[in-house]
Amino acid sequence: MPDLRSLIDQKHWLIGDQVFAQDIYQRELETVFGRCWLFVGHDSMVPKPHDYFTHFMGETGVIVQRDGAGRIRGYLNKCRHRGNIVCPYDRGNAKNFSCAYHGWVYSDGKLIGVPHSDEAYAGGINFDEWGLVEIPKLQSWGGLIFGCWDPDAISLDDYLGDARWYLEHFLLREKLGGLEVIPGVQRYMVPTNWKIVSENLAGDHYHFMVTHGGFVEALRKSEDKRIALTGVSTGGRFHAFSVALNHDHGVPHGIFQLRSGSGQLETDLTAAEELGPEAVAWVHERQRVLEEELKDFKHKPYSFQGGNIFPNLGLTGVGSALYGKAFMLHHPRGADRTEVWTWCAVEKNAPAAVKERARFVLMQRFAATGMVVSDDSAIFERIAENLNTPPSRQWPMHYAMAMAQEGEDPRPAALAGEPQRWPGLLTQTFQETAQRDFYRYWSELMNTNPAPAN
Amino acid sequence: MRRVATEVQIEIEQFLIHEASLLEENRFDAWLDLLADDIHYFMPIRESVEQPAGGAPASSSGGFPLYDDDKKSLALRAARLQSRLTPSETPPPLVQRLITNIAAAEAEQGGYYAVRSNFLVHQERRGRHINQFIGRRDDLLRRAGETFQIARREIQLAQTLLPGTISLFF
Repeated sequence: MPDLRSLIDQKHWLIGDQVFAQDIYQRELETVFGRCWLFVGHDSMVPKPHDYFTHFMGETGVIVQRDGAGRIRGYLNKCRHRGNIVCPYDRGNAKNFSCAYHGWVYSDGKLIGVPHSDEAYAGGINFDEWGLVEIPKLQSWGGLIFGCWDPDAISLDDYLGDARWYLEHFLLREKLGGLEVIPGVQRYMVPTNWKIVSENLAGDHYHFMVTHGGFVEALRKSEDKRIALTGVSTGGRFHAFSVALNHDHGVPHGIFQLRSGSGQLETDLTAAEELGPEAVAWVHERQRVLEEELKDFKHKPYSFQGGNIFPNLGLTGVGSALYGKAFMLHHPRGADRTEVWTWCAVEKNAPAAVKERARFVLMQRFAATGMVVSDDSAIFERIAENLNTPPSRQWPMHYAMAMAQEGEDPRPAALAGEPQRWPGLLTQTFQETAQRDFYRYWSELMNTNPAPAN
Repeated sequence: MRRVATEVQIEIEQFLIHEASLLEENRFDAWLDLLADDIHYFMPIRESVEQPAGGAPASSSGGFPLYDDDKKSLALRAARLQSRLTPSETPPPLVQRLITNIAAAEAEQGGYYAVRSNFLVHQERRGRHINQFIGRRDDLLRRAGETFQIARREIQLAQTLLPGTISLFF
């Protein structure tokens, strides 16, 4: 493996192409995806005992299931006998998983059946020792399920750190009834390295007006205001920031478009009026609960639009009451392939018209057919074409935006009256602090050893 | 449902071929004119889920579809495709469409036809990125004088993992 210190110049913040190369990739699967807490779903995807869905942690296939006793557990989707996939379906409900190769049967992770076991294993086989491999750490936090292969990993609470405050108040909203994930996941390939996508979600708002210029132009011209009325706040009455979470002291999650001021609320109310009084009441109720929760803060954000939970969970659509919330998981599939899985969640207790609008808006922007992701994807695939082609890779890429401003309070005078108490390092919208933190932590992880088997 | 007369079958085939060529030529305004004002344009995701033995592969129960559009939102998507500021369409990808297996029947309602067709859409970007989308469409066509309008279209891809994002109409 190349020396990462020479690839990532942390003084001038220049990063060499080799961080996206194949020889790095295998180690990444072991360290980054072998040690981090990885998003594997949401409670509402397995409401009943024995509901399950199959999933990936890095490239590793897993099953997440609510067991007979109601606890959510995760297993390697791999028969202990010869390694065949024991569950070939995307989701469903099953008490047992039976391997289609030789017929070993598992229930709640335990091996319960081996065909012809007396004959085949004359000396006996200890069923207790040959159950499915269980993901050693699996935990639901506010309904979000994370799993981790490292038995010595820090707690999920510590892993999320500063992110908890933002997820709790602006995404999960449990006091309003929380989220429900609409069944089904959209899956598509993007021919690029997973980090190109994840660092974008961590805080690249800089690209929006350029990459999505055609979309923005179409929104302006269109008679269809359903989509425009969720993203763009009225000028002057809102401020937006980026936030580098756990900056300098932990796992680098990033969020973009943290919005304060009344602009987004006004936009949401305008959009809700079209849907009727119930929808308007919902937007008010949502705001009442938020203000109650944040009553100790003189200035409160209204929402944040999206972000990245390290390493590869992208979030978007969080910014508006009428916008579906996307969980976008960027599964690595080789150094230059990423498999995107997108779920749409809606606020569970929202009126039907609000849920319907939220789903529609997210689909228009962030489904595999979405107008936003199509442009991002076109850019990401072109970046990948350019990586690691000698001699071009001798010239590193520029990650030094807004280094001088880092640590300054970006809030305008009107908001700066009280100390900054929102968690994380608040920065101006155009920044690369979150991206620098991403690669700083990534290179630390790459220098650790793979997690031991437990 | 009754199969249509041969001359109507030919008319419908010609209509679908004409539609495909409009899309190949990026003539989106002319394409939008083929759609009824109240069109429902729907494409569910496909999934691998457990089925009774011998059952057809399941389509999603609705949920989070790829398209669930009306004419207004289709027009917005078309406007984006026509902007010169759209990276996925600049330079314009090469697109070729094969429309086959066209089976038309008279719908219950007079003047309407239920038409099933298969498609293969090939898209190449800049000589490097080739994506193919394959599936079938169930259309409800409405007779409109010498031609037809598409009143409903449900698209089923034969793909659970898409080769890329989709900025195409089917």
